[in-house]
Amino acid sequence: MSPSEKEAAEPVRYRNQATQRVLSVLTAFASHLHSRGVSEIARELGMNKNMAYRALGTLTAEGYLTRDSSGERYELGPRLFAYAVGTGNESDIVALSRPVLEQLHQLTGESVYLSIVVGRNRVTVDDIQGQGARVLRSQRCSPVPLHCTKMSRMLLAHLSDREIAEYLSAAAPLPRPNLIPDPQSETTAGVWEDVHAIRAVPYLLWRNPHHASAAYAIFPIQDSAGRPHAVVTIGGPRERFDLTEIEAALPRMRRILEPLEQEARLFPAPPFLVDA
Amino acid sequence: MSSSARRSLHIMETIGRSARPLGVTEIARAMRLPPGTVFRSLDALVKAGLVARYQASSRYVIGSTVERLQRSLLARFRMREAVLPYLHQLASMTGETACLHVRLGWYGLRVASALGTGEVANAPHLGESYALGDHFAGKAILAFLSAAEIARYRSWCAARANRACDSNRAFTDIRRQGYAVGEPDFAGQAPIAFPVVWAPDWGAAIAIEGPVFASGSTKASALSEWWAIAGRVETLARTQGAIFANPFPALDPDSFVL
Repeated sequence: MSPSEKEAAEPVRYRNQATQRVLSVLTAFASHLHSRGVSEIARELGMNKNMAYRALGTLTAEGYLTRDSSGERYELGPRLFAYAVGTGNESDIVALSRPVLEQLHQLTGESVYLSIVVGRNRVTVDDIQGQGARVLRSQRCSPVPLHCTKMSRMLLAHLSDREIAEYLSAAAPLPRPNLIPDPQSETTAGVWEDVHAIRAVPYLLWRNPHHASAAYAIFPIQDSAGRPHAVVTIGGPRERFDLTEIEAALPRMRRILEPLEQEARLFPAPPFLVDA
Repeated sequence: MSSSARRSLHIMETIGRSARPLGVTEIARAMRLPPGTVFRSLDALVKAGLVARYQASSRYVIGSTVERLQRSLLARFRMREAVLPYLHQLASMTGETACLHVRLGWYGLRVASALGTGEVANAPHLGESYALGDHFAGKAILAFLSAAEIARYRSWCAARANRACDSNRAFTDIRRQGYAVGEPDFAGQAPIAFPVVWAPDWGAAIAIEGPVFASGSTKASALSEWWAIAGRVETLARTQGAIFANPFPALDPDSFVL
């Protein structure tokens, strides 16, 4: 009997049940990054092992699943790339942060920045410029070493001790590209001292000590393990945005940041890999 | 094996490949199946979340479960997380969307993207695949494969009868320049892709997918900055082999068809 004759002989109800089993086995892989075994699938879907095995066989023959290197377990196969289904930025910290930057800018009228770790550097990848004759300017896209400036060290401080040690070793002798005085960036001991001080607080309020400088509020955006996704910085000239003004706006700033902080905990921060 | 289940999977693919929502009759006609059979398959697919009705109409689109499956599949390319910060840097520098493409058999596959920050930017689909020679990012990957591999790709194209492949001269030009460019827009500006080469039989490309490059008028300093970022990713790939490992090492390019 040919497959089509065999199928025609089966009652529709059984065919539909077999189809439902195959499709439910496929969907059982939706949230699993690792391979899965026959028994695990059968137990989860309440079917016997023989049914699960046959469903896995159908999906493997069609390229939707492949056997893993052990040959015993199954994982998603590349057949699903036959078509694209989404732009997929649900766990993209830059896209998630944009509305928050806009709200913080609306609240303060000052410059707002989003900075991330790129290799050994902090890079500002999104910003909204402040309003007025004098505004805080950021070198968007220009890399700043992770040990230089408070904003960079806010990112550095949320890496592990081992990663910071690796970074300091790879970056030695510590470069000082910043013209603004930043004594803590000049020695390894100074960097470590500031790292410990930053870790002791949930956010930083900071003003550069020299005349006519700027004041900042710097907030870390972390994953559930405390690793750094990014920092959000709001800053402006001290004549109108000094620490007093920042402290007054702080409760509202924190309320704006809260949904982003919660969402950022749902997915891991990128690995820290020291490039050449 | 269940041919009814296979039919349902093929119906899902037909819907997935369509640029617009499809109705039962259209699917039945395209697949030469009775409408009743298609309707029963669609019912099973809807129950599994693999297809969905389009805005409560009688037409169907791919369901949210397929997107979740594809996300799980994309997550097997562990390099995505490591490369994403560099893509954000490029997207922020150029205002255009920056993407990571990898080789999958004789196809290219977009596995990561950082949306451009300009007023207008491309929003390309993740998981989109194409024959390597059909896309500028794929050409950047293809040009840096060995001559034997390029010849093998040509044979694959010939066997599929419907695909042309660039001349060896075109690939030589890409190797000499160090980048491949896409179709220019009305102002003569084109997207650009830089190869990322770290393994003899595998490769990737970093693409700026909007109109940023015009030969002769793009500043050399901008080009060298983009190039340098792709170079840093390449260095990372060479030193972080586990993260940049191919998740489908056993895939036979000649027999794999999407």
